[in-house]
Amino acid sequence: MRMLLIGGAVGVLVVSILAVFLIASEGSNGDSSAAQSVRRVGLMHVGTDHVPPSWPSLKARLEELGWADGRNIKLIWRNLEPNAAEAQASAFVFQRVDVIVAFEDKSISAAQEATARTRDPIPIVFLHPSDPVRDGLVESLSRPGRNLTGVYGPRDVVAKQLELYQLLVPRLRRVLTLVDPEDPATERLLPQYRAAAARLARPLELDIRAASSAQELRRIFRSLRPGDVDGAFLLSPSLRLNHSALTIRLAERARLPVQAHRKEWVEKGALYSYGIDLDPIGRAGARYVDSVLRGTSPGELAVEEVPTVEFAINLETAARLGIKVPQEMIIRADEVYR
Amino acid sequence: MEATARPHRRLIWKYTTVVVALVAAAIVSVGLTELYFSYQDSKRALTRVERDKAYSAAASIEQQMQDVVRELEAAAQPTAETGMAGLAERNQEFRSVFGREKLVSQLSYLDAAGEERVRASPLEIDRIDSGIDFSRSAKFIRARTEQRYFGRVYFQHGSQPHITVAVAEPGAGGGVVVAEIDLTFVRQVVDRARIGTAGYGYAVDSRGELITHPNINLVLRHTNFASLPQVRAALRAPAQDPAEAATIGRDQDGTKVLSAFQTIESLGWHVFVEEPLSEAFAPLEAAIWRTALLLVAFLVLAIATSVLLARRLVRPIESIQTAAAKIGSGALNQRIEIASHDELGALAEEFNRMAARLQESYASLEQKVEERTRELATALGELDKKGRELEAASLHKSEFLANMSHELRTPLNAILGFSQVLRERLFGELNEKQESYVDDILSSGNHLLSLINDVLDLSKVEAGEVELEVAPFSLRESLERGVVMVRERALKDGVQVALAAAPDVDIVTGDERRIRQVIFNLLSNAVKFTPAGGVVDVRATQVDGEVRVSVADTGPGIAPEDHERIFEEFQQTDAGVAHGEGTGLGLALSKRLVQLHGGRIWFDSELGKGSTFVFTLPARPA
Repeated sequence: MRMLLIGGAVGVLVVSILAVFLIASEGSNGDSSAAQSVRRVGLMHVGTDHVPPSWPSLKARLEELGWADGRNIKLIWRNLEPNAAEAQASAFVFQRVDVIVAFEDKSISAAQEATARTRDPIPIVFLHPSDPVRDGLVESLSRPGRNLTGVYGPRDVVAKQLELYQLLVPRLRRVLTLVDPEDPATERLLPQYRAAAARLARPLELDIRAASSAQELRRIFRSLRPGDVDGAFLLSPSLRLNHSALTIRLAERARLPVQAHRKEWVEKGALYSYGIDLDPIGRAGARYVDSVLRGTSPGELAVEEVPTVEFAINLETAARLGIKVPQEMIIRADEVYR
Repeated sequence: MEATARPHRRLIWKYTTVVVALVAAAIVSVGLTELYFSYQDSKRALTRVERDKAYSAAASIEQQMQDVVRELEAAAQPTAETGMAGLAERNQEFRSVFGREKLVSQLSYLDAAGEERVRASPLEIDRIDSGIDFSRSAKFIRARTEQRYFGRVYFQHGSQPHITVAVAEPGAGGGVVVAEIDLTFVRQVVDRARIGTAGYGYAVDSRGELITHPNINLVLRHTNFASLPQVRAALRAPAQDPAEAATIGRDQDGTKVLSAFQTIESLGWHVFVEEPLSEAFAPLEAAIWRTALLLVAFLVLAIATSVLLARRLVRPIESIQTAAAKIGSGALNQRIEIASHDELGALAEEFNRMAARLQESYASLEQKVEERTRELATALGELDKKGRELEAASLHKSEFLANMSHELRTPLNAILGFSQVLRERLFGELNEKQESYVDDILSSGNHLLSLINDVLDLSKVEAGEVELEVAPFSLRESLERGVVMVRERALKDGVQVALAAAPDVDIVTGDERRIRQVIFNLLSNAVKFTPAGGVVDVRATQVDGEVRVSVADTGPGIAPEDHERIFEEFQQTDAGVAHGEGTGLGLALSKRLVQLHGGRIWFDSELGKGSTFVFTLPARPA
């Protein structure tokens, strides 16, 4: 009887020990992180006719880093007309979002201005600005110092674009250059562009025309006569951002090749593009958003440069225009549309 | 109850402590051994994983760098054309390199004189024949002498890690192709080398300068890791035995990490793969917890088991003890009931047998005691009766003696009176014969009278009728008078009597008449038994608060067999009997009188050498 009792007690004890073990191991494996408040990120981009490829890559990378939109993060994406940037930036500030992600110069400057007026500025992660130091976004690349930090691509590559243009279109002599006098970048880019044209192995002639709207662009193309120019070039970022689609259509009608700054436009009929590869910039930007959301001060996050450039050619366009692209260039291209 | 409970508790705890200590020691030692070995095992295993990761990362980096170098070697082949056409050809070749090799951010060709002839970049317009002189630069000189040159890691635009690689153009008088290589690719490679969830990889150059790190901020700020212990060790001894390449180091925040590295020999870089110890040994931590839990569980088990066991062991002992205590306190019919058939059962059985035997012998003992008590009571009754009878007899004897003496004295007085009258010839002359007989009658009558007086005294003492007339008196005087009383007889017998009383012997308290009686008795005895020419020596001293009087003679002494009875009534020594004098009551009476005074009386004697009788009196009798 007594042995039975002892046996029973031992049995109960062993079972309870096993239970404790199971619970303990369960506990150690279980994810203890409690549901936390949803963080809000305001993302803004100016240029309603396209979406920068850095945005989907940023979103994807954020998800890899554990920020799933709608679960623990709310990504407020705003694609804007140029004149809506300031209002949207103010709205983000008013909503007290946790981070503002600003794509390209226009939205970056709007966000910077909106937050500069507040006492505790909302962190801003900028993606592919033209030049963060020159534009006063950061004090230095390694120590931004203010509420802005982010990723930037290669600096202006207009000279290289012009060089490639000539290599692709050996007959290129005179280039219709479209500039937007209202775009402050024009002032910076034009001298570089002119210098490059003069410095090429075979210097190019430039037909520089000012245009700030679609109407003006149409008017310029209508005024062209065959033989006036051998190709078109969109110099001002504002024109590239807002009127690429239109320009490609107009150039196609005028049987002129046109350069683009991103491969998406090549796919839509531009002859070639040579520019920033935005995908890695978006991925790098996600890391900044992650760091800021985890509490790192943006002023402490060094600005990263992702100098990847992408070269795309549309051979179909070339063939339609009777341009024989050298084999060397086809080999070199990252993307070839046939 | 308390007396039985305490040892019970103590024994239990003793057993429990021993069992628990044994179990704890066993589990702890096994657990610690197990933990130690699993620590070593997991350290080894983790190190191997880290080293493998570091190795594959290093191999991948080296591979990519080799690919770059191969590209450069291809681009460095002499051109088919010469002059400007040759430069254009080389420029074209460079452009195709950019298409194939994204790591290259700039290419230039320096001619045999070290002057730049071609410069191509994906971001800027190519330049032909810039003529910039690089003849004194390391990249040119080292590439020319060593065919290949790898520069130090530097940061373009202040943030992008780059390295300059230069390859010499084959053949004498050839130039050098210089490439700037973007090292961002190293990050992707090393990032893949991460281990666990908190583990990470990073690469440093030969100076400890960070080339890549998951915290890009550190790279962008050109952090130098040479101060970290594991990096310092790697930099100091690059050709370390891989088995020892795993160390416990620290990260930039001071957290301890398990670290392994692989050196990229061609570049002098080191790829580190690290994991915080807290994560690396997290499984071990689980094992520690498991061991601790096991320890606790088994301790509980051990306590429970040992308490149960101890109780099983202690309970019979306890009942034996309780029974023993009861038996000890007299309950002999108490028996121990233990069911177990072990040593304790045997002990209980023995105990029961002992108790039974004890009960048995106790019962017979009681019977015997009862018997004896009864006998004793009977004897006592008889004795009591006899005592009473004896007492009555003694009383009767004393009464009888007192009466008798009185009755005897009356006729004796007549006898003595008339014989005295006769002797004084009041009734005429007596002839010689008559005179002699009258003398005999007188002396016999006197003897009889003294005998009767002694008997009367003695019987009075024994009957408790003597009352001392206590008063201070001079013992010295008593002694002197006693000596005077026997002197006549002594002179007649030729015996010398000497008295020596110490000066401090004089007044004592007592019944003077009785003390004189004692002194006289002793003196007369002494004189009586001392032959002619002998000496009777009387001394009185004061010793220890009592007065001691001794009477020594030089008589025949007392035989040892007579010592016992010398103070008894009607006892005389053979010498006394031979003398024909004395009543045999003198010493008995003297003894009683001295005792009545609170003193003692004794003697020393040796046959043929005389006797000394001594009595004492308290100096201040009560």
